[in-house]
Amino acid sequence: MSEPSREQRFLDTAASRGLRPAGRTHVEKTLRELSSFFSRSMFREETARRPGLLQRVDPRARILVTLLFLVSVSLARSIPELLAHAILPLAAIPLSRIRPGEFLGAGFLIAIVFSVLMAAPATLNVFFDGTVIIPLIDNGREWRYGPYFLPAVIGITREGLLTAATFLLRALTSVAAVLWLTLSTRWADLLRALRFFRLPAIFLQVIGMTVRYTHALLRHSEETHLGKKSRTVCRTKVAAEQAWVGSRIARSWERSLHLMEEVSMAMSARGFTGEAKLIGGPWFGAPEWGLLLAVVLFCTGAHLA
Amino acid sequence: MTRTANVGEAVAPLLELTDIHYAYREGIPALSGLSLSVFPGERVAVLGANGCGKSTLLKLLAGLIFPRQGSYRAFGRKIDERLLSRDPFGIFFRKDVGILFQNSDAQLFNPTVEDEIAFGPLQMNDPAAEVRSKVQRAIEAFGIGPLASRAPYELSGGEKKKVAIASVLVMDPQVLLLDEPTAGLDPRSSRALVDTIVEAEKKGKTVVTATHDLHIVSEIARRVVVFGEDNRILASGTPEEILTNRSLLLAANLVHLHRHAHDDYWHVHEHEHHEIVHFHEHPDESPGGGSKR
Repeated sequence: MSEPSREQRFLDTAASRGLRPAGRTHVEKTLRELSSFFSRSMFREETARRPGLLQRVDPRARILVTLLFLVSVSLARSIPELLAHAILPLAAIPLSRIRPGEFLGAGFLIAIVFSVLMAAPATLNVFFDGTVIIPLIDNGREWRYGPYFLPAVIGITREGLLTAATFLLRALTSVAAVLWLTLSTRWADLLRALRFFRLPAIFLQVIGMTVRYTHALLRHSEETHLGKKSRTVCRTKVAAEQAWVGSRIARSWERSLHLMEEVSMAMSARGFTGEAKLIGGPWFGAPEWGLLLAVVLFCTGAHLA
Repeated sequence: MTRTANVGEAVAPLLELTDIHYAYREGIPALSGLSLSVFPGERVAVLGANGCGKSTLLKLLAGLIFPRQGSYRAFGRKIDERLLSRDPFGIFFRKDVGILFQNSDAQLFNPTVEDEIAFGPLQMNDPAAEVRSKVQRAIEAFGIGPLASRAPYELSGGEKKKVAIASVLVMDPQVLLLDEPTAGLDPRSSRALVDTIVEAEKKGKTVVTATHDLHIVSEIARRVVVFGEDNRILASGTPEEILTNRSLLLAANLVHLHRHAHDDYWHVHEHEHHEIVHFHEHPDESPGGGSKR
């Protein structure tokens, strides 16, 4: 009879000790999902690097036109005006070589769902009076209890639909414009472009450093997680997993404090005395002025629609 | 302490530490009774194992931390926190003493590489055109043009180091304090850095480099200071004197005995670690010099 292999001997020992494969614990899944969410939402810059028509325009001009557009959308009153406005972000997305799936995944789908959920009650005559055009429930008679009132026929009203459509168009058009800006512009460029708006330099410095070190700590957390995974042989108790996560949070905190101390020293070493100073960029060129003019003309035309 | 220059006049130390004691936590000293003088235009290498106090020494020389006991004089002035934060001399000191941190992540805190390099000149209130021209020159000098608009988190370890060095050198400091500058660098980048340090000497700069990379020592320094594991200076001398003193290097934990197989024989000899080069020599060529496997 041949000797059992090394693997077999180990598996026999593991079985005798009641060890189970590590599997995928909910703690691990949560950590991975969290890390992936932050990486996706904050640092996905691949779309911003594509050679789209609008990526060639200075980010400052992109921020400026987005702000102008948002003001214009908020001033629009009628459905045709809002519909005309909606064309602009929808055209900007393919011009920036952003795929519809990426656009929806970046938050537009969530925006649609939540906007519809918010707007839906306003369409019913339960909350606001109006002319019912789509009856849903016929109670036969009205019901009143103190300040509460239910009409005999509950349904969708014309006025409610108009209100909901106005809200949805305004909200989703604005969200689309902001998403276009964030998908077509890298964080670094976005932060640099904000200087153009004369925001306090220290505020921009702090935001920039927050983004920078969130990334550094995120990477560190990912590495810690992978380090643990590489040495996790068998399944551990949930309580032990939670204790580990707790200890790592404390370690990350400690590490971030240490890093903060070092960053502060590095800043002092290069002459920082508490007053942030930032470098300005060159003034607008033809593409920037062109985009600005196009958006102004478009918004004016949309208001006349 | 003074030194005599070639023409005969006495030269005062540019940086002078006397009986320095520093501890991050009570009972765990980082520096114990350290005295060290660095003269203008000198290139000094500080050698020592991990945790011997090299980084602490550089932070102290850069006026970022202050000793618990002992005194530090730089440019003829006694350095303390008040002087650097309140006196106009502090601005001069920050401009003229540049430090490269061991951890590049701590040093790169701006949104882009370009902003990072511009940070120092902007703090000095240089005019915008001059800042741009300095940044451009530094970018060209380090060949980091393609990285200019990148964020620090998009850089590799070696690229981060290059940007960190460029962001220090753009200030044109007279004193350069480099903490493990070649750690994590590929051979070509490491070579370029050594050339930069040699070039700095030609420009009359004072360079203090903390390292445990023995390969670069003879090129980057004219004087070597060896730290022991007890956070005290173990020896000081020329690179030749130090690097040929095997017992000193062993005592400082900079080399260790290494067992190495050749066909049927084992050799035991001193050995040092480095990321790229594996350096050792065989004192005996005959099989009889080793032990039979």
